[in-house]
Amino acid sequence: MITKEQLKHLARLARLQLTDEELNKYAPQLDEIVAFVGQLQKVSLSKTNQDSSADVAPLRTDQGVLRSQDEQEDLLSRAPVREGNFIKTQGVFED
Amino acid sequence: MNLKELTISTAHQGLKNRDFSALDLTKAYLKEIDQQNSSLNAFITVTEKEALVQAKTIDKKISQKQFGKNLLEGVPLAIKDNILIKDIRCTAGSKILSNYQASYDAAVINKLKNAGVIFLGKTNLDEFAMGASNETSAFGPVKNPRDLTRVPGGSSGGSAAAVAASLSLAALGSDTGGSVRQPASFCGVVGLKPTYGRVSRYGLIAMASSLDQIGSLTKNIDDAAILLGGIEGRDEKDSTGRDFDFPSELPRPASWQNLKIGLPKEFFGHGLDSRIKEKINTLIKRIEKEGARVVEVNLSNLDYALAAYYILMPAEVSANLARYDGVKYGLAKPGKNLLETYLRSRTQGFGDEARRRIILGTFVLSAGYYEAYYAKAQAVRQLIRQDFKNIFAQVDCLLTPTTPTTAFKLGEKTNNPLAMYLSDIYTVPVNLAGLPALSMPIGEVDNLPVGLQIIGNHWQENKILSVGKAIEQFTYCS
Repeated sequence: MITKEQLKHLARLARLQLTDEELNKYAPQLDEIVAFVGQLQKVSLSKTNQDSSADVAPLRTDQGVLRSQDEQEDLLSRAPVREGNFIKTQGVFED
Repeated sequence: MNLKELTISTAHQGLKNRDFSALDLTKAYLKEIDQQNSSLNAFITVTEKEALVQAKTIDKKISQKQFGKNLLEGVPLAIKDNILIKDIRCTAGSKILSNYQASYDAAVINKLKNAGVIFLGKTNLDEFAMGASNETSAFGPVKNPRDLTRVPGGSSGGSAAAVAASLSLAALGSDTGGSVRQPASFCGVVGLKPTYGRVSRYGLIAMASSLDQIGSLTKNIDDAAILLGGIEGRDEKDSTGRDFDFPSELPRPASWQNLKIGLPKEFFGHGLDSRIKEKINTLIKRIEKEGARVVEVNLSNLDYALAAYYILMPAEVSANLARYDGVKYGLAKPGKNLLETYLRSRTQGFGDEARRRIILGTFVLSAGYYEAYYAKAQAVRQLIRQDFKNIFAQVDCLLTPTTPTTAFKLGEKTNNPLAMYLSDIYTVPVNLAGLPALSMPIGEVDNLPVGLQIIGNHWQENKILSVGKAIEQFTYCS
């Protein structure tokens, strides 16, 4: 059961702000979906292989890639606010 | 030229014989888009200027007798608007990217550009490819060309509608849980989802990375094979890519005597429209008459597949969509501090379905629920992969319906997300196992197309295409 309070908390974690109206709309919908996916609790895990992710999503070590000035400029130009060669943002720990 | 009957092969012949120029061909499609897009809403962006330039380049090559054997050269295609074309707007059907200009070409676009493909524009889709009806798009729903009161399916609904209504010769889509096959089924075209790892997703806007795959929407099986040949191949920029031994080839009709076909009985049970079932049964009788061995097989964990999918997929969605923060690119709604900027940009940028899935993903990954949901779903995914492995030790391919119903009415399921999710029931297991599958039209119920799904073992696209080709011959002859 997903309560309105719980939903509010989850939304906050996901960086979304829901109005009361939206909370009232989403809560029963999500509750129904969670009940549906909850049927997996019936599956017995003893016979399963839990180490499943390795062949699906192999990890790759990223190399440092040198970007050309044009590419750099291209990416920076997409940022809402920039300062020189930096993307500008607000401080994380401001009051 | 008759656009309705044109295929990639016949377009190539027409260009080669100079029956028409690439410019004629491109203009003919642009004219169709101009006339029909206001009612279908299949395209979000039409790249008319770029298409005409590309067409003239091809015509120049033709006049200089440099026109080669590449069947895709000069072919006009539509591209789902979650695949990046450099300097063209790419929205992913979302308000949060409504003004985003792509900064690079996706790997598939790079390949197609080199092949001389002409891009007509970017097609409408459910927001971030999340939906089964195209109704979650921030740019309005696409209409099904067969009946404008019905949905085209989703999430590649714009691509499917564009091909079905001859707004494009073929199109690219993406398939995370059925997003190529389900709209192909609803619109009466061929949709192919390749094996996970066969086609690079570099430059495909990520939804659920362990499931996403780029696929094609085409008028027939041959075109699906040709387009697959144009986009497949390992790419260092997609770490899930694999080398494979069987490059796509133009399919020859399979000889039925040598084939063992499996019918997973769970796909023919409760919830399937009885008229669709009848259509498929008629087809299967025909196949048996042709000499194929048809056996019933069990996919005992199918009931759990959809539940596992709706845990794993939103978990990955919540992580992938965390990058849209109002700081790096996309919609920015500055607040008085960073947290408020995040909240405002994301809340105003994401639509209902994106928000629901982000929250659901956050829930199944949160402390106290992770083991019960996410870990369990991973284990079930493993069981399903094993089920398919056992099945493909016995049979060559599986035949199933693509969808439990034909195209439903616009608005019919928008207030009931769970009912919408259930339309993916037959397509989702394929993504969980990373298998190749296609949907092809095999007839109609109440004037609406019925899709047959052919599922193959990993890397066996050529086999399912040749089975599709053999079926195409008798559905078109009957």
